Amino acid sequence: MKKTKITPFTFVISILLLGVAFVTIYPFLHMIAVSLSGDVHVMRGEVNLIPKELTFKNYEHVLSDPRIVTGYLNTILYVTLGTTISLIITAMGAYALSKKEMFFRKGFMIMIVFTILFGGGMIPTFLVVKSLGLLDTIWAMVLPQAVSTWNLIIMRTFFSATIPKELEESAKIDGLNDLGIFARIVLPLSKPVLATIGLFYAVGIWNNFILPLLYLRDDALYPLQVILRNLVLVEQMADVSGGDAVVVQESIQYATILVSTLPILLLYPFLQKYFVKGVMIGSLKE
Amino acid sequence: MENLEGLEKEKTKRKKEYHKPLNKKTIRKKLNSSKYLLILFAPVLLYYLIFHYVPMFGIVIAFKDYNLFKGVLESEWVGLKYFQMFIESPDFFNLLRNTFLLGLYNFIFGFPIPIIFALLLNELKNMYFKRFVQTLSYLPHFISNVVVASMVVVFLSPSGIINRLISFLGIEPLNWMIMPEMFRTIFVTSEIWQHMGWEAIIYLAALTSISPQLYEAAEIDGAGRFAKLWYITLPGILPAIFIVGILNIGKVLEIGFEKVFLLYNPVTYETADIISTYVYRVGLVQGNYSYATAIGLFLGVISFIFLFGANYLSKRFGQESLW
Amino acid sequence: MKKMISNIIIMMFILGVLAACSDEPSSSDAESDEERATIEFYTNEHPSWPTDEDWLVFDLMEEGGNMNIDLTIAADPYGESLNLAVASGDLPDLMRMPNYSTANRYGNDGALVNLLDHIDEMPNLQTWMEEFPEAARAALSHDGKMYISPNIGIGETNRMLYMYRQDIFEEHGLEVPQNWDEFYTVLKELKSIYPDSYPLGFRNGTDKLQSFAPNFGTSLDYYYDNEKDEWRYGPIEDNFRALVEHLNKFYSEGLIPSDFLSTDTAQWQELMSTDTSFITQDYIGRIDEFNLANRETNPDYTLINMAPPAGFPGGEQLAYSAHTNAPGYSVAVTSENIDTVIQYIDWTFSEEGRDSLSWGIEGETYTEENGEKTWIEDYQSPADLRNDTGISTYATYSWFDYDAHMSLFSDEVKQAYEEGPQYDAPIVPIPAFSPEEQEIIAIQGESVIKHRDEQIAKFIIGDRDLSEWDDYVMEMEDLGVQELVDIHAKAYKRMQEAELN
Repeated sequence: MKKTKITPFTFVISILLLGVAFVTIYPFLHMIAVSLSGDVHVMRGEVNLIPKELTFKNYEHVLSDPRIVTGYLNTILYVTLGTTISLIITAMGAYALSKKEMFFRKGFMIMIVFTILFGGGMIPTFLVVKSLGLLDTIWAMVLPQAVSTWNLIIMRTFFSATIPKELEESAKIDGLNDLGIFARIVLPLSKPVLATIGLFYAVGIWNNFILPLLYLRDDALYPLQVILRNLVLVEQMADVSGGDAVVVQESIQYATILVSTLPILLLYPFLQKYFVKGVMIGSLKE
Repeated sequence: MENLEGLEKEKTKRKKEYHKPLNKKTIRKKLNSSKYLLILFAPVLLYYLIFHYVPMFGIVIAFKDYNLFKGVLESEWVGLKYFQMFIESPDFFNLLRNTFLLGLYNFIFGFPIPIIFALLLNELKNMYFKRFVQTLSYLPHFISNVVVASMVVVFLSPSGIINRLISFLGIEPLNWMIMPEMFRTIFVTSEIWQHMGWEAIIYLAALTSISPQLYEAAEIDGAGRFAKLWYITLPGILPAIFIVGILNIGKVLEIGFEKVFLLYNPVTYETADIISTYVYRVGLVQGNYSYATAIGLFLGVISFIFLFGANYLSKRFGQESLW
Repeated sequence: MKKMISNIIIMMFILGVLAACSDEPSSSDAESDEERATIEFYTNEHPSWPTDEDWLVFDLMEEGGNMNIDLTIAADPYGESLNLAVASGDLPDLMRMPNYSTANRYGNDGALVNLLDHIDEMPNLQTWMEEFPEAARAALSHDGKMYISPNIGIGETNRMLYMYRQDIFEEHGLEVPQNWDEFYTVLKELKSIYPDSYPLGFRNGTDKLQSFAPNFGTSLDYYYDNEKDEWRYGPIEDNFRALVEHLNKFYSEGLIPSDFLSTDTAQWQELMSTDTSFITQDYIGRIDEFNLANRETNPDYTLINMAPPAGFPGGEQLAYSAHTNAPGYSVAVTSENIDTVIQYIDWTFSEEGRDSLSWGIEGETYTEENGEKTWIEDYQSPADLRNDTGISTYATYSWFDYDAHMSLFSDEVKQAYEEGPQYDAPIVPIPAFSPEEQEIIAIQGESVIKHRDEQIAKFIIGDRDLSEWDDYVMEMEDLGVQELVDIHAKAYKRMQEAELN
């Protein structure tokens, strides 16, 4: 690694970005501190960034919930399966749509964009999913939102902007058809965008509480988010807190949030290695 | 350069092709030549047909008095009743204005900041520091709106950290949450805080596709930092910028209700109450699906005009377009 | 599916024969299990006490209804889960309905059984309705049908009252206020002793006026005036103005938090736990919650109930009556087991059902001496009881004996329960509306609510001067308040005239 000299410009940027980093990590530090503090201090709002009366009881409480384990396993299963399927389908479709010569391309694009703005709504979609027999199956967590229009269009843009035409043309001359080009040339060249869209899908599935809410009844299939939502959000959004409802303490809420978000947070640093500049050109040269 | 010219020629050629009258023969030819592309596209097409177009019959409940038990088909037709009800509602213009302005501000500030952030990150040479900032900046995206909103309220409370900071600068503390003129600022700032790092990811991915050779060549030509930024980096991510921009313009009116709902209070209604919070209060809570669908359809039509316009302009300027 | 249906029919047949043959209530469990009808029971759960399928209460229900329960815990928001269940046409036999208006909507759509059609098979409900006609009427639809079972007893859990810090009052020799003028004086005194405090702290912003308004003999909403026998809209009345004037004074003098409009539960807890607020108004159960938590560090901390201050000197001390409960049971018209479910619901209105679903099994969960029941297990609170047995969790009761909870409270809460009811303002009845009326209330009513909340909040914080009150009243009338009042009056009249059988 070569040493870089620090210019005033870099210095200013670094300070600025450090500021951004602090501001954005603050809520996490705060949540960690609260989740590790004693109840009274939380109730009094005394905890900021440093835990008071350090205790792990909130984590013990959260982790002792038997539903957490099933929730984790289910979520991991849905994320793995769902991301794989979504990524493959999206990449295939995006590549096709990136080719100007594709039959009826414009029509397909308008048809897809149309769905961003108009939809049948919750109940008709539910009826379709139900009539396909997907209720209470893994597929209910994977198929109804398998393709995100946004991701599809982003990926299409990347394909059309970054895959050199000459490469495809020479491949054609070498006798590859579009399927071959897609699998042998486009995919290997598109690691950054595949990593990005893969991350978007994975996070989307990880955080999705709407699909399980709508399509799952069997609690053995519940992902983590349903449990999290029950504990954290329901109480605050809907007024279920009747007279003697136990107020769920912020500390337990935060512990639950942290326990259920940490794994997916780790995905990004891991994927960052695909974001290295010049990956594509390197493989081109080979 | 040669390549570029070639590309231009290709483009004009294709344009000509496009304007040829479509007879059966050319259709069949085109169909045949893109059969593998169609195979690739088939799963996506199937997905949209099944999960978007089949349920779309549900839109008709905007024109019906939806009876849940009897179903969409058996429900009674009411024509434009629900559209009329919405437009004649005393809050209609205020809601529309608030929704549009909030969305517009969110777009004007929320759209460029991730781009600037990505470009700044790109200027960093130290990989570890870069990854560090990058990773931290995307954390707030994972915090639910409920938690974000409660933090915002605490920060902005009369004795909160923001007021302590500004009184340090000699400004009188403000009661932020009950100032209607501040609501949009608060909302947009919190949106940026929450999603800046996340939205920058796309541009960071786009930046990786710029060939280092271009930079090397520019350096040899003696280009400075800003010249490189202007002539190489920006054009490199321009397609992504335009596409994200067009899509975001289409979403200007679609602000989720949850965060607004958590941040507003009666005193700030005059700027904060938007269509989605109104629908939440009227439609979903009371189970008025027909009314909610009618409003959704109304918004969809306006959004479609926005999206269409943005796409048209982008195309006019020779940039990326959706179709 | 067909096979299942035929199986169920056979089962029911056998069941009927068996029931005809033997009237013995406790034929051995293992045998009868086979022949009992299986009822799909659809409900949701409270996050504070997540459902355990092994809870005693489900055994009690199965026993009482002579049925097997196939339990489905639906996801929240429950209203949407129910909508999906109804829309899919796949209705469970027995459902928890979150409130009367939802039941009436589905009932009007044709999805639910009118319990009154089966009243001949429900002797216990008949007797019960004679005893509690008001509670029964509340469950009727606009056209006199009963799509949801009524209930009584558990509503006490929602009782709200004023609470104050007795230790602080004693320390400084302060008097508990009898009316809002004295209220103002005592808040001022507290403020002068604790300059950084906001002596009156509460959550939910302007919604809290719901609790304050009855002190002034009015309401934050449409209400029925028993004396004048008419419906009125509270927030445009002069009495309401008096309340707003008080709050405006409180606000400008720092007696309530300057951010009271955005105070959430966590912040309110902070106010109450840091000697920032000394008086509040909330659910009765908060007494124990605050006392237990705060005594860890401040053993003197004592929050106890306070009589509601009268709006005007010498006026009657009236408190908001929040102690009602709307949810109940509904039966799907598509059910194959309507008779079984009807029989179960009827049982919940019997004294046997009440005791069973409130206390469990004599000798196993409770003992009775001189007519007084006590729990065998040493439960610390109703929450404990719920988590252990499921008793008094969602949709496990109709007629609840609130003594089952009362015996578990601290002395402070018991005292509050003893003293509270004497101040109860009349409970505002919730009449049932026709779909057309419901639509007007939802859509036109929403504009009224919004304008009310917005303007009342502005009056309180001084953004709008109280001299403009009459303009505000005119604005509200322009939004059609009178029409909405008329709808309430009409619906209420229907409710009163409806036949109960």
